[in-house]
Amino acid sequence: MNDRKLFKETFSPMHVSEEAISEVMKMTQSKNKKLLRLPQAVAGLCACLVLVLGLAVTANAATGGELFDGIAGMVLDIFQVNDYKGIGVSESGEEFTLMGTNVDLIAREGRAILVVGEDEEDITDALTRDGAYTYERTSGGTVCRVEVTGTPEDWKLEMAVFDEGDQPAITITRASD
Amino acid sequence: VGFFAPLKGISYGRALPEQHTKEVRGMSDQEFTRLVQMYGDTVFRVSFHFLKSRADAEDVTQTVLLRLFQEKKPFASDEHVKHWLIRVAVNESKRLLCCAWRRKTEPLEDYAETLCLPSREHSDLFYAVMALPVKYRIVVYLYYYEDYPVEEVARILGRNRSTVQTQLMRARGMLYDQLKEDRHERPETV
Repeated sequence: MNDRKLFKETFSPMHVSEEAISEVMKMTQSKNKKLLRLPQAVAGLCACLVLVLGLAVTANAATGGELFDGIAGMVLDIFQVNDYKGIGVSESGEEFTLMGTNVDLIAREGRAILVVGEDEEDITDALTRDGAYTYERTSGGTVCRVEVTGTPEDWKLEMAVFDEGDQPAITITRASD
Repeated sequence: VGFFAPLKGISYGRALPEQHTKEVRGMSDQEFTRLVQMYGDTVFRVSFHFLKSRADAEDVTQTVLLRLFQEKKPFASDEHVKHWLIRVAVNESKRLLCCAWRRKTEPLEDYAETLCLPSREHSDLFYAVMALPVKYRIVVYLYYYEDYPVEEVARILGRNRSTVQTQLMRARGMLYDQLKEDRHERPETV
C-alpha cells in the first residue's frame, strides 16, 4: 500500500462536525471561562479528587456518610490551573484547590509502564536494575513526583503533588495486586 | 468547607488569586480560532484512527482543543502546534480506549456512508485501514496521511524508530492481503 494519493483521498472527507467546533467556541467564550468539560473534568483532572476521596473513607465512616454526600453536591466549577492543579468552586461560591493527577503502573507486552497524567514511561529496566524509579515533572509551578520501588511485578508507588517550595500536599500510595 | 477538613492536600476557603484566572487563558481568541480551523480535522482524524467512533473522536477533539486554548507555553510555529495537538490527541484517545465509559458505538458502515467515498477502491482502503490493530492504524495514518517520516512518527507516539518501521511493514502486509482479498470477493462490476 504505497499510494499516498489514494490514502489522502480516502481520509480527507473526515471532518469534525460544525456542532462540535461551535460547542468548543462557546465554551471558550463563555463569561465564566469554564475550561474543563464535564464529564472530562471529573474523569481527568479530578481523578485526583476521587483518589483523595479514597483516603477519606475512614473520615466518611466517622461522619456517618455525610462527607461524600456533601462533596458530591459541592463542586460547581473547576478551573484548571496547570496539569496538576485546579481551582474548584462550590455552589456557595467557596473556592478550594484540587491537586493531583491519575497515576498507575500497568503491564503492557511484558513491560512495566508508568502512567502519570498523559505521560507514559517504560520503567522496566530501571526497576530491574535499581529497584527504584523517580518521575518528576513541573507544570506551572506545581510539582508531581512519583517514586516507584520494587520490581516490575511487585511494586509500590507513591505520588506527591505540591507547589514548588511547599511541602507535598497530596501523597497517594498504590501497590501491585 | 468542613467536608474537606479530613482530607490531606485540599486547602479550602482560599481566595482565587487573580493570576490564576489570567493563567488559564493561553492565547487570543483570534489565534485560537485560526488554529482550530487549521488543525481541528487533524485532531479528529487522529482520534478516529484510535477510536473508530465519530462520537468518541469528537469528544476527544473537543477536549484537545480546550487544552490548546488554555495551554500557556509558547509555540515556536504552526508545525509545533500541530505536533503538540497530535500528541495530546494520541494520549487522550489512548486514555479513552481504556475507559469503561467509552461505549458510544456507531456502526463503521454508517459513518463510512457519510464520507461519500468516490470509488470502491477508496472504500476498501478505508475498511482495510480500520480493520488494522489500533497500534498499526495510527502509524499508517501519520505516515501516509500526515507525511511524517518514521522518526517523527516514533517521536509523536513515544515508540522506538525500529518499532515504528516494523509496525509500518506489518501494516502494509496486512493491507495488501486485505485489499487483495476484497478484490477477489467483490469483483468490479462494470
